[in-house]
Amino acid sequence: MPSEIKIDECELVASLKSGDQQAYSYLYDHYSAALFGTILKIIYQKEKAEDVLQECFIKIYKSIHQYDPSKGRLFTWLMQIARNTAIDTLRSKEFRNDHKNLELSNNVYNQGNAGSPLASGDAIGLDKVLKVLSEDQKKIIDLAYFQGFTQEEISGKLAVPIGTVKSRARSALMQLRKLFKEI
Amino acid sequence: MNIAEYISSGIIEQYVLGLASEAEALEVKQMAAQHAEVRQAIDAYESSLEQYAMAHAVAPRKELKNRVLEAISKQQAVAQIHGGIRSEGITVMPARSIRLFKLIAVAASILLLISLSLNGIYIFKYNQTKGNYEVLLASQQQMAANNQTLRTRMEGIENDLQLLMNPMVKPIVMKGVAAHPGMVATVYWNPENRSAYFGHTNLPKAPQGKAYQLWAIIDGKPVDMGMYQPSGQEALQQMKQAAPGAVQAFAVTLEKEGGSPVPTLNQMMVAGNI
Repeated sequence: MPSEIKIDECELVASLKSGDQQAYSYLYDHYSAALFGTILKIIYQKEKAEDVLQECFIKIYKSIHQYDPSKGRLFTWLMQIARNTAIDTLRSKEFRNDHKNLELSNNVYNQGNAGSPLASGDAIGLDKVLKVLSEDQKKIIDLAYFQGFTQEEISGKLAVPIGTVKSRARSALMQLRKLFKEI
Repeated sequence: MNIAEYISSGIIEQYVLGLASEAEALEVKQMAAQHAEVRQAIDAYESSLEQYAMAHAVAPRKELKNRVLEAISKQQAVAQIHGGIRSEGITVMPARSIRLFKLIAVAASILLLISLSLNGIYIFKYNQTKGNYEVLLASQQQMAANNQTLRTRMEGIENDLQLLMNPMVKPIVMKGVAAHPGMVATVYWNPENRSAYFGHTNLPKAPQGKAYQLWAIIDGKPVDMGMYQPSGQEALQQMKQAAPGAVQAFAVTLEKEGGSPVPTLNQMMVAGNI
């Protein structure tokens, strides 16, 4: 699926920039599940996560003109928006008043129960991914990539030195790269 | 450090996972812009993470799609209401419809200008015509009034003429007395029906509170024939019918307004025998 998209990514971005409704429909069809999965790593409540997904698409619409394809992949950019929108929501006063028990620091250990992974013929199943990554490696990637924590924060949360965070992150990423290259 | 060493230094992995410091991230971005290999290494890791994220994908409820797309359309509508330009300065409307809009706007502006200038011309012409009409109306009224005056005068003259052409009527010219030489007045006297008409005089305007009184001398006695005020009108003025008896002369005296039962002789102006 992602390789397919990459071919006409520039065209898609141009259509998105021109405000083409069909382009947004296409964008939603191809990326909403991945973005929703990411949002659910931060916001566990499905209803709230849906609101965040909607807000995330509005942000995409509002700032698509700032996206420069030559500077990075579209998906990476979309991910950043989804992650930032979710984190902003989590930290918002309104949300914290509603969910006093759900502190950001607690989220790390509760993930995985949020939703069922999307069954997709193209994407590699989560079970296969989890087989390749160790529990420690997976935690680091989730904290850094899905939840946007800094290495200092991760070091604090996992009670390991920053050097360990760096090396685990690197080995995890190399594992992933190897795994997806095989396909 | 060469590029291969830079790539294998581990910094790219930290950058891709968002773990690099701001300074490091800036450095990686600069390297990526300068070296295709660095960019490729970043892309490869990001692609892996993308697939990792896809493996974690969770499909949202089907209904959510419409809600999200509607929210985007609403944003577009809001942006279009605000002049078709988003706050970030990016045009939302497709270029073609902007061109069309511009074309229509220009055409509408031109039509409006034409309409406005025509309005101006028509208002000017209307005012001009209205002015002309008012002038014409005034002059028409003036002419009607003049016409009326002329008719009245002509009728008077016609009457006078008929009167003068009556063979029975005799003009009796009264000349100024010794105290008023050069004054003159005429009585047109019809002995048949004993009527008298006064006119053709150069008597001056009577002083305030005074008027001229015509007398007929009948059987040696002065008889009142009526009052006369010079008015500038030349038509003859019909006086009273003369009492029976032989009319011998006519005379005019200056009396108080309303007349006098007997003539004030020292105020006699003109007199003439038949």
